[in-house]
Amino acid sequence: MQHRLLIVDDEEHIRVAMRTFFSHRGYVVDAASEREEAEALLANFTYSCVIADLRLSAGHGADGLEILGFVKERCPGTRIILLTAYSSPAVEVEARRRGVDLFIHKPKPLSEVGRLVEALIADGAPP
Amino acid sequence: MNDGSVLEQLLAPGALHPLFQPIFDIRNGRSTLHALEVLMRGPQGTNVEHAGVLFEYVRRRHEEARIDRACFTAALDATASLPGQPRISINVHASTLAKDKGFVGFLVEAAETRGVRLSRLILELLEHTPFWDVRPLLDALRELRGFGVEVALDDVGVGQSNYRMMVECRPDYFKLDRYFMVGAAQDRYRQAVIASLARLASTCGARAVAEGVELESDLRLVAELGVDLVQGYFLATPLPAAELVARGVLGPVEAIPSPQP
Repeated sequence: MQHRLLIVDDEEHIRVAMRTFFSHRGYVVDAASEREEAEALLANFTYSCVIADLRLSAGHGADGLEILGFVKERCPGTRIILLTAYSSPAVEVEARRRGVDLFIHKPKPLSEVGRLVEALIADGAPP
Repeated sequence: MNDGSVLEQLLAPGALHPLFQPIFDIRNGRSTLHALEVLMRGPQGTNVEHAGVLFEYVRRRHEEARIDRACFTAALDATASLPGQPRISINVHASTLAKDKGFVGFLVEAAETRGVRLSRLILELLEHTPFWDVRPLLDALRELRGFGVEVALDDVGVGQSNYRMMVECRPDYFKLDRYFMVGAAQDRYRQAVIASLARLASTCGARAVAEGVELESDLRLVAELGVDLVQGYFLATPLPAAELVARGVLGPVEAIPSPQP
């Protein structure tokens, strides 16, 4: 079965790098730069995993948490990973309360992110 | 302002691409073009090229009215190039008609500027959010009907396209959601719903349109169930205006009665 991934990040070079990396590994990859764009994709397609940046634009709050809430409510079969460079314990606690499957602190090599995604999808449980 | 958002990309000139899909009248064993539905696509190669993603995004940004205006502009530009004066069926959010006070005036001017008679237009009402004060919507529909515009209720049977909307809006067409068509030949529940909605439309003086007719068996089935307006890939795929003309898809076009004074 070919897994479908959704990358959500406001930085184009991150989206391009992740799309390229995961496409070469056999995933079908979509990428979105905005929360509403990500939610529109989630409403139309079924994803194995969503990898979302916690903050999609400076000063606009934690969009990643909103996406997390959307995924958990509307797409219970989809796993979700939040990426962040600006984590705080309070945000991590909130993300875990909302049911995040994995929280990754940036920077992290793509190969490592790829390994974590693969394990998350394969086991159905956080690696 | 261009902040590079998907919304700004959608509102840029030439960003929206209208395709036309024929709706055929299959009464008496013949197939006559009844209307062309405009199916809008976003910029090629983007996520919003897909219509479902496009309109879900627009609703999440609460920008239905701005995008509906942009869609009408693109649709009427393309319609002006079509020969034969066919009816044109264009989607619009009910919330746009209810909340955008200038929409009717915009539509009338946009059509007249391009030489498109208003009596050729069918407005397909979409609604995804219930709202309680329907008076502004009904006022807009009354004004549009005065110009000869017809009204269709889209996605009948799912979401907010329910009995209340039928009673309030008195549509001329009930567009049966494609959900009921998929696998209908082997599903007596779907067949029962299609037959029931076809009878309901007829009782209300409206016409039922079956969307998503993709197989010859679908076509036979809906005809047996009392639906005589059909749309779907079995009969014709959505095409840009130029290709529609080049392929000769238009064929004979039904005459449109003059609006009642």
